Amino acid sequence: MTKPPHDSVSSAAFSGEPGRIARFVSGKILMAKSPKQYLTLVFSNPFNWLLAVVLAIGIPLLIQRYATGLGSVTHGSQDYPWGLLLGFGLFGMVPLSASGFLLSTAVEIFGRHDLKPIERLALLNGLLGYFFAVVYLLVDLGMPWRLTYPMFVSFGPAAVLFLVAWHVATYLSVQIGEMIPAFAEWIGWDRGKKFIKRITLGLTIAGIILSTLHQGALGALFCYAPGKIHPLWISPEFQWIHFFCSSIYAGLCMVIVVSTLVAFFLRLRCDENFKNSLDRITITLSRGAAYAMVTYLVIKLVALAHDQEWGYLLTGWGGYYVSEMVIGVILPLVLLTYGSRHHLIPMLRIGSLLAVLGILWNRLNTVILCYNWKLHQEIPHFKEVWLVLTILAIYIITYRFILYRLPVLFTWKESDRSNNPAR
Amino acid sequence: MKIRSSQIFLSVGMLTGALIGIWAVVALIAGLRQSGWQVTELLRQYMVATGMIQHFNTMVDFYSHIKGVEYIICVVFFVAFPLFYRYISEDRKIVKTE
Repeated sequence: MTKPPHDSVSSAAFSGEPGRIARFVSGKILMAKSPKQYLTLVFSNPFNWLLAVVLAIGIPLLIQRYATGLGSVTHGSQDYPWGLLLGFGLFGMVPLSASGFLLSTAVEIFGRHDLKPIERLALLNGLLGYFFAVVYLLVDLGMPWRLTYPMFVSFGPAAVLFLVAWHVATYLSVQIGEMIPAFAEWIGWDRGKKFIKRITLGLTIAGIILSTLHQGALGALFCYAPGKIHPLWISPEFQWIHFFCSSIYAGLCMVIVVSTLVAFFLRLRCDENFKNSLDRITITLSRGAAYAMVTYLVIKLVALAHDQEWGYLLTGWGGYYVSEMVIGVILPLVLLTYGSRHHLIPMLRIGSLLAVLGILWNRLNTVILCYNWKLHQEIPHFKEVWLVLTILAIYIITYRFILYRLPVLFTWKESDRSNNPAR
Repeated sequence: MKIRSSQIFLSVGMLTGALIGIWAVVALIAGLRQSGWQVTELLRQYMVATGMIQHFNTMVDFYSHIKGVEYIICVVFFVAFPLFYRYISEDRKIVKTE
């Protein structure tokens, strides 16, 4: 029995030998560059300057939120308890993170190994989306040290929020488990990778159960206040399936959007397998998204018929609803359908971007614009908008940090470890 | 002989289609004029005329109506979805990336 080749840099870092931790930081974190070289590289990118400006204003605002309370940075009130932090951060990010369970199901359960090159990107997208949804939630809730109360101390099993909280926590754990193989390859932890490989099927099935229930439960949350939301945006019998069904195409379209961005901006990190299969995978994912969109549209129509809401379509709110449907669902559907049939990749990418924006629009409408539609309209405080941008900037930085280092866009080879300590 | 009959069939079809088209456009314009050129008012009248907007006296009437509309939508979906699936899944060899 020969011992598998370990990366001396990374494994040594965990053995705690002095001097080797510095080598781990230099080799893995700084990607084989000195701190000075790394900083020079970071600030040579104009996009990083933009992120720095967002963070320079946003982090003091974050401190203000925790020091002086939520009221100092938002327009939240008893009438509008869910502002932009939850409307965008939680209700918007979660459907876009459905990619993880969709792709892992396709590859691990249905045996669609043709989608394997993009599986890890979808899993990472799901993990980070959920993780930052929790971050947004924690900024909104405050007092993170009291999280143990709803989770363990004071159970509320009859509440949808209890369901949502436990689903998010357990599904986040499952997603971390699903990403461990990439992390294990990066640090040279072969045992961890082997262990996760043994339980992959269990993790995937757990992911399906938890994610399906969680996406639906987010919709069911609105059944707490059905009278407050405009009837066109709430249908108590169908709300959960609207949220679940729309999350399917949202997750798939988000993977197309992210894969387009990485193929353009992180091309050096993508291996030939990823680059060569991206167009084919984009077509496959677009088809899946189109099927989900058609189903979603039909369920929306059924909900209109079930609640006998045809008359509302003739009002100003109805016009707004129709425009959301046309721009956010029907137009992307047409683009994805035509593009899939004729293999027009740019059209599929534009359609996916529209679908992602359409989902965000729908969630913001449900949470903010069409909430308390008979009362005044809440306009988010500029500090709240900036806080949302700040966390989004941290999300982008984290996403990019992982993509540069972990084997997500490339397949790990043992030879990489010895030849290139940056990988 | 075969060509001539198909030509006659095509001509009759086109003529009928044109007549129906002209009738539909005239009906639409006339309807719009009658409703003061308001599209939503015309739609409301259409929905009232077809029974989509109406007054219900009993719960049974209400449920009979909404379930009827839902079943029509579902049946159309069950027929249309396989066709849509077939349309979208047809494989083309050329991939355009530019």
